[in-house]
Amino acid sequence: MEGGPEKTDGLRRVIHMHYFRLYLQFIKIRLTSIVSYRGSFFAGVIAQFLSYGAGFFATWLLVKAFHELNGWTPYEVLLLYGMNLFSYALAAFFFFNLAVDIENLVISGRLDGILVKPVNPFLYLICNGFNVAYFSHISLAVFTMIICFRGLGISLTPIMLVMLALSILGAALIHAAALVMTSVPAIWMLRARFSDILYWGMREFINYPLSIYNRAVQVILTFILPYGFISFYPAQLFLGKEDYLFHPSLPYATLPVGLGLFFVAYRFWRYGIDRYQGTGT
Amino acid sequence: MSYINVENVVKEFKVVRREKGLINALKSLFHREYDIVTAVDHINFMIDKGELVGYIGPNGAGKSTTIKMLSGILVPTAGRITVDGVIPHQNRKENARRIGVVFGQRSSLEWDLPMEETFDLFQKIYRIDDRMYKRNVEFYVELFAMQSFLKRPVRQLSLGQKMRAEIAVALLHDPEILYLDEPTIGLDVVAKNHIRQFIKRINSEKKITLMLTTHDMDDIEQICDRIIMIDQGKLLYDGFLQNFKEKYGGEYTITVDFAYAEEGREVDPRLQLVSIEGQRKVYVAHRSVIETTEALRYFIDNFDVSHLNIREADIEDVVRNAYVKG
Repeated sequence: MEGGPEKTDGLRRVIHMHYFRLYLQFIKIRLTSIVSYRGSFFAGVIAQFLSYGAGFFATWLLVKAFHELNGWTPYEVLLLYGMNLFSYALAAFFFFNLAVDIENLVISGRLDGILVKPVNPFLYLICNGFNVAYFSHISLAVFTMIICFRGLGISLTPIMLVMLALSILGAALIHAAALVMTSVPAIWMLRARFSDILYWGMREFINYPLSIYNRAVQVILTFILPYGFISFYPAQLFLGKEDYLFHPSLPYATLPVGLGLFFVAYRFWRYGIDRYQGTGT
Repeated sequence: MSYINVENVVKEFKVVRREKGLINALKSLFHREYDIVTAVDHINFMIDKGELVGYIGPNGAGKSTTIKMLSGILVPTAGRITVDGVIPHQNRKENARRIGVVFGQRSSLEWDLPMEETFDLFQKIYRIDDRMYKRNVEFYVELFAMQSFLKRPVRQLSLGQKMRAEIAVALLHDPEILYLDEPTIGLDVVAKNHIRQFIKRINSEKKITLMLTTHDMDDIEQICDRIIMIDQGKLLYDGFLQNFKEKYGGEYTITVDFAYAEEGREVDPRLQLVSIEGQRKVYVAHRSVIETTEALRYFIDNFDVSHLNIREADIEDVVRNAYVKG
């Protein structure tokens, strides 16, 4: 339904400009509403900050108590937490509304309102879903990562910084793919709490080094639900860890894994919309 | 080939069968049973460019489902729809550029945004060029008398203002067709009248093909040239308003509260007694047999009446009539 072979590169560029303009427009709208609901916005930011700050603190205390986890020092484990939070916040910044709000969109009929517009519904929802609340996560995550690298006395070379950025991008794509995929049953009005639990629950695992778990968990988090690529594998690279699992090339694999998963998630979401159009609700 | 063609279109929905009780709820976790509901059942019609068609029927008749198929949201289970030679669901985006859609029961406006900025947003969504944009904003702000509430956030507008805003926004990109799903629902009489005037003007001045669903008989009488009536997914009538009125309309009900029991007294046979409840009697009559004014005068002149009430036939009555008369 989208695109078509006749579409030239020039036209594609125009289309991307179209969504970019739309995105800027929606950012303006969201910022305007924040101004009109200042109180609730700041209350939300503070609440988020406190709850994630508590998670940060709990991880810290736990690791402090053990001194080390399978050769990973407290700062190293905390870096996993920071990378996980940063990439999640980045993904949620763009995809949270699309993924979590989709059930509401279906019930309220707003999805129909989008389908009568000449837009790609996926891109439109990303534009529309600009979620400012995640600034608090991002600042907390950046803060965490800085104190970890400082505490460990690691100064990243420019190449390593680029690698870090690419890894976080890949990790964000993995989070995004998970958010998008778990939202598809909601398009069909099948409340799928199971997939939510799978996602939100498994996310906690990767705040600790993958190497402390037994083989089954390692296999699952590498090959089936590859959350290991969000924090553990790329962190090995920056920390110079050599407790490789499966294959020493995995620390470099985050971006390709993220791109692959995200592509699959996007196709699945489109399939979800096609089926919605076929069956209605 | 007409402009809009609907050929033998069927739309079935699969609905999960829900049964009461805990055991059944647990069972449905593993095995769901579905009922097939036919919302639209082998419907055929054609609409030419520039027509103003009322698509009517009681609640749940399949009106909205048809609009959703015409606008490319839903895919028909069987049959074929073309709009200006294009199959809407296969070319959803291409079709979307040519149509405007307003769903009366839900909003497509941003709650916190004043209309001024909503127009900007829709310019970006539809990629409307600046000249056309300026011209249309001016035209519709004037037509819908929106000047007084352009700067207020949408959430503060009255229902009537909101509906005008919805229609204006749906027309900003110069669509060739406008689908209005229950555009007068929930509005007061004055606001309804405004919306009706606007709809007529859009059709006559902008030459936009217009299809509106409603179950309000006044909407039908005051704006539509042509009526398509459906019930339970089946087409019951397709033709001019005048024929429709002659065939199904004109019926009315008079409820009379007599001052004291009028037993034994004969009432004009043109008024058909349908129910008695103490001193209250209900009669049904038809305009072609006796005019409402004559019927009223008849009761006032001949009886001691404490209260009189006349009710025109509503869509449910008309549909019932259609079944009786075939």
